[in-house]
Amino acid sequence: MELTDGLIVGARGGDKVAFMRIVEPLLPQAYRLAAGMLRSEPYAEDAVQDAVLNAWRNVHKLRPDSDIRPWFLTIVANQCRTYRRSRWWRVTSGEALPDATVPNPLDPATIDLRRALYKLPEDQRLLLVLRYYLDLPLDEVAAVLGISSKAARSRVHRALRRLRLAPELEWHD
Amino acid sequence: MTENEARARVRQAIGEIAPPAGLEARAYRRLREIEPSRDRVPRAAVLVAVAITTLVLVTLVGIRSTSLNSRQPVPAATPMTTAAPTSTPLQPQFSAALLSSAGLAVAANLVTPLQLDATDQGVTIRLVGAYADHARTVVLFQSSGPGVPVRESLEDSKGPVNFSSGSRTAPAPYSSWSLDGPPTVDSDGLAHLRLTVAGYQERIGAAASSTPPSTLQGLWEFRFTLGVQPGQPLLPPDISKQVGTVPVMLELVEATPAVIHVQALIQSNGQAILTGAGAGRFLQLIDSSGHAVQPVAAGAGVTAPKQQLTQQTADVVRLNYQWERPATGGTYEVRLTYQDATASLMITVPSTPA
Repeated sequence: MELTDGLIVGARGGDKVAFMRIVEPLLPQAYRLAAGMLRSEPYAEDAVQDAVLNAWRNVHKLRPDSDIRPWFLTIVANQCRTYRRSRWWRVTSGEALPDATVPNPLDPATIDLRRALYKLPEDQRLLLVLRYYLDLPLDEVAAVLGISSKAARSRVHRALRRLRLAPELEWHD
Repeated sequence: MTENEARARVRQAIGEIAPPAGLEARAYRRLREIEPSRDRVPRAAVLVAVAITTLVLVTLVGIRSTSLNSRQPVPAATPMTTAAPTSTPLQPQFSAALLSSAGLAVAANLVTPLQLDATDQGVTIRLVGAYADHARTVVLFQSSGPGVPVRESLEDSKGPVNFSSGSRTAPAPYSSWSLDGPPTVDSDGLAHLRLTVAGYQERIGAAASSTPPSTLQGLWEFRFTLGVQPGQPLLPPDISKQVGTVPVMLELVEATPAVIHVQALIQSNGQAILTGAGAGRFLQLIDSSGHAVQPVAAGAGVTAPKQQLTQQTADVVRLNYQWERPATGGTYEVRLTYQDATASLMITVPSTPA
């Protein structure tokens, strides 16, 4: 914690090396978040790089006691929103391209779930990606979305119900 | 189902995506290139740099600009209302900035003016105009608050109008939303439409903040009729081209009043083409000075129904690209590029009618 506080102080003072030492450990998760939201690995890297720039420009808002991961992942999520709402970003809804990394891309149930997942409203999809793809605890999921942990739990459950995955859930935190 | 089982299903649906090697190094290199000064840049200079970056990003990808208004408190909900359309003649009533941001500058005279208000959650959204042609449908909004409508959907007499969609930057309090396809025209020659807006969101800045934009959930509904402008073919349909080893069928090359529209069928290697490094260059419109025109829409989708989806059929992909039509017309090259191979066709776009 003291090491991170020192890095934050350095980053706020304009030290890029200190700043990169703060965000570097978060880049793999940031990439997985962006890839999960954008469904494109090239765009995911672009989004992560833009998020790093935006984080650097907003590093003055970071306090020594700040929780860095939800702070940075919020910036990444916002960057993904910006990409998705730009005119350049177009993918026809409905039939998504099977991804080579999906273990069994031809499984109809998985295809159905994938399609349903990407038809969810953006905030619901973000909830599920943060909670189940990045394995963030609920309080960090809540922090990224700017809501309470209780609201995050309720919305995750609602998103899963929409995907018909969780009529009855046993919660593990 | 337990949460762990739900987790496994969600992860299976997304797939295991590994970060590429060198991600950290590239991010650091880009940070040093774009922000070269080691010292903390004075705040005023940061704002100027952000403004310049915003201008560049808006030019390149049309990202929304920041609203400087603070968030409005949410008043009590009011019942949703939908007004009847006014019977106004087809005259240009929109600012040049709004039309330009919506990609309708050259088709201004064909935008149907509307004055339809819907109020919910204390926010009034006005549908001020709409346009449709063979390639796209555009609606123009004005809202009473500092945000923008989101979660739009459109239905015609046949049901949901299901094309890829997106929004463009428009000067506040305006915004626009468009679909990459036309609605169904009924026997009276008009499309009968129901537009629904399910959210109202704080404007997102190009320099994204560390707090998520707030979204007000609600329901704003508009019903109206709209004429659909036809397209003018620029080439015969279904022209076959070979781009190296990849066969491509140019199914449609047309000009509508607003856009140049190309629909192409990649008949093999579709996945590799669209996920590879050259994806953005596969289909381009090149102007007479040799520059690639920035598309206003670029969509792709597999053609096989779900039940017939295989490794082979998933490689057959249909592209749907649109570029804003120039007012003065001209000669353009439709260029297909994959790895070291290129195929192209020349088209002549007529000037738009006065």
